[in-house]
Amino acid sequence: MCVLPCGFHCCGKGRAVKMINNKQVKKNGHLPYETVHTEVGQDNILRVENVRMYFPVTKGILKRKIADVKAVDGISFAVKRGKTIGIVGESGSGKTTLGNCIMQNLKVTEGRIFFEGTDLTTLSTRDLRKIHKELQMITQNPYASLDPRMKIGDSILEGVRLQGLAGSKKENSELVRTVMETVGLTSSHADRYPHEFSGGQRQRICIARALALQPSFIICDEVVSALDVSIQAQIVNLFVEIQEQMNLSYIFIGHDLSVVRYISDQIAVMYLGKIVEMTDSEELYQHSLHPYTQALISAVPIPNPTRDRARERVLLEGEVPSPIHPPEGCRFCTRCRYADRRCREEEPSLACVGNNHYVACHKAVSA
Amino acid sequence: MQDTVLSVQHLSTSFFTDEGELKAVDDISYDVHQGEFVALIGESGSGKSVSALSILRLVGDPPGKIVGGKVLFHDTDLLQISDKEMQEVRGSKISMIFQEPATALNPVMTIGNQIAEPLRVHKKMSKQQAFREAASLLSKMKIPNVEQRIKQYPMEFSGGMQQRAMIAMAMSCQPEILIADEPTTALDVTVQAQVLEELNQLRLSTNTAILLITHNLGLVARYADSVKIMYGGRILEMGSTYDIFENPHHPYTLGLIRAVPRLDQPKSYGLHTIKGEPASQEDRMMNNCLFVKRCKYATDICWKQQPKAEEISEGHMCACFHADFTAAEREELLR
Repeated sequence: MCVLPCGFHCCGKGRAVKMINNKQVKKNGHLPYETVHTEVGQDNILRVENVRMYFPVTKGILKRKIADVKAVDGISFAVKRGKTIGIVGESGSGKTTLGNCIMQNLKVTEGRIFFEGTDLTTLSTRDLRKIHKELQMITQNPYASLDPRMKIGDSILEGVRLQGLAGSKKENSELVRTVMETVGLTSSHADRYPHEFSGGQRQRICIARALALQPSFIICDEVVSALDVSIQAQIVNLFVEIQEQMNLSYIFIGHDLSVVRYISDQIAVMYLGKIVEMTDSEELYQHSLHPYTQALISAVPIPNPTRDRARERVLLEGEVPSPIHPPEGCRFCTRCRYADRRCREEEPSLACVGNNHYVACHKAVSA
Repeated sequence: MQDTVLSVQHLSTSFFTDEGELKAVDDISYDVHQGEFVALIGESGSGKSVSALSILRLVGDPPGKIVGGKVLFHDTDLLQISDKEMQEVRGSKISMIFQEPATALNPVMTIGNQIAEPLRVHKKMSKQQAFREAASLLSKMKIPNVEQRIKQYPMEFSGGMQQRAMIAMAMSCQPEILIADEPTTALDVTVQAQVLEELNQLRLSTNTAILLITHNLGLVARYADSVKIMYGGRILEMGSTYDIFENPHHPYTLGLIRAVPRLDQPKSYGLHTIKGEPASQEDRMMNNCLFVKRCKYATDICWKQQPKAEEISEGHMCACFHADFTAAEREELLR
C-alpha cells in the first residue's frame, strides 16, 4: 500500500500501483486545499446537500420565464471513500443532470456539493480545473465522446496535458502504456484512431482516459447501456477491479437495476428529480419499500423462463409525467397502484425507516 | 405444432466490399409456425438484423446480396418473386418494426396518416375508414386520448409512444408475421416491459407470429416460445425457450446467459464474462468453429473443422464438438 501526499490511498499489487508511483503524479499530487474547508465526515469523499437544478422555460421574444423544469429537486446524499453509490431511474428522472451538477458542468440553482471538504459550487473555473484532476466523469456514448481525429494515445493524455502534469515524451508513453494495460487494451494500439475500435474497446479507452489523471472519484453515467451483454459484463467487472486496486469511489448512474446492483454498495432510486428510496444495494433489492422501486425490480426479467414466468409482476402504467408540472402531492401518485387521497395532497418526505433505509412514501412507512 | 408459415432454408447473405466478401449471414435455416413467438438472439455484428432484412429483401444491393438459400412463405419462395409481388407481401403479410422509432417514423406526417397509409394501400380502405381503424389500433396499444393523439406528429410522442405507434402501424393489416428488430432497445426498462407485454397480448389475440430480434435475454425468457442463438452469421444453438435457458449446451449460449446480471441470485455469485471480442471478419474466413478464440473448452478439432448442428433432444440443435463438456457449468447455471 502506498499513500500519496494528497491522501490518495492505493491498495493492492496491481499495475495501478506502478502507475501511482509514477513520478509525474508525486510531483503534482496536491489538491487546492487553500479553498474553503468545511466539516465533513472523515470517510465521506463527496457530500451532496439539497441540490436543486431548475431550467427556465421561456416564451416570446422577451424570453419571459413562464415555468421551471425541475430536473433535480432537492437531492442529498454522501459517498464514502472507496465505495459506490448507484443512481437508478427512468429517462427524465434527472440522474444525468445530477451527475453534471456534481461535475459543475451545470451551475446548481440551489444547494451545496462538498468534495474532499471543498464546496465545489463556490469555486472559480481555475480551482475547478484542479478538482477535475480528482473528479472525473465517463459518459454513456463511447462513439461520441472520443475525438475521431485524435489518436487514442493523445486522447488519453489530453486531460493530463490540460492539467499541466505531462512529463517527458518517455514518461507520457509510459503512462499511456500502463493505463491501457490496466483497462485491458493492447498498449501498442495507442497510435490508432477511435474508428478502429469496437464499442466495448472504446468504452475501455474512455475509462483509461479518466484513469490517466489518477482520480479518486469517477462519475459513470450509463457507461454500459450501449454495450452488448458479454461486453457489458466485462466492463462492469473492470470497474470493480479498478476500484479495488485504486480505492476509487464511484457514482454509477443507470436505468437497469440489475447492472447497478452489481457494482453499488448503496443505491438511490430517483423519480422526477427526487430520491424516492435509498439504502444498501442488497437491502434495496430484498426489502424494497417504495412501489416505484418494486416496479423497477419487477421490470428486470430473469433469464430463466420457469422462474420468471412464475414471478408476480408489477407493470407500471403510463409514463413519467412532465417535470414542468409534476403531480401534486407524491410525484409518483399518477402511476402508483396504492395511491389514495393523502398521496395526491401531501408530498411524502424521505424518512429513515431504520437500517440505513430511507423511503419517501406514505404507504411504505405505515405498512 | 401449428402450420409453418415461414421456412428459412440455407439462407446466406454477403456484403461485397473492397476488402472482399463478408458473410453476414452464413447458411441459416429455421421455421416459424403460426402464432409462434420466435426470438433471434445475437450480439452486434452477429447477422441477426441482416437475416431479418433478407427475409423482406430489404438488404441494400450493392453492397449486400442474398447469395443462396430459400425463404418460403407458405409455399412461395420470396427470393424468386417479382419486386411488385414482394411489395404486396411487405407490410401486408409480413411487416416489420425497427429499433429507432424516431427515425423510422416520418416526421412531417401525422401519426394517424402514417397508420392509415398501409390500410389504404393494401386494404384499399377509404380515408375515413382507415382513420377509424387507426384510432382503434392506437387504443388497443393503450395510447390515451386517441382522438387528439392521432392528429399529432411523431415529435409530440415519447419514445415508448412512438414505438407503440410503430407496432400499431405494423399490425394494421393483420400480417401473418411481424418482424421486430430490437423494438425496445432504446427504451427504459419499465417501458420495455410495457411494450413487450402489449405486443404479446396482440399476438395472442390475432395469432400473428412474431420474430423478435434482440440481445435482451431476459425479455426472451419471459415471452418467447423458441430461441435461435446467432454468432458470426451462423446459428450456434436453437430450441425451445426452456431448452435454451435451462439446458443450454453451447459454451457461447451458456456464457451469454451467465453474463446477464441477475436480481434473483446473490451478488456473490459474480458476473461471468466471455473473454475477447465478437468474431471478426478474419475469424469468419477460416474453416473452424467461429467461437473457438473465446471458448474455454476449445481443443484441436475446434481449430480444424466447423462443427455441424446436432440434435440434442427434439427440436434442440447445437453446433459444438464439445456440447458434453458444459454439463458442470449447466448445473451451476440452475442454482
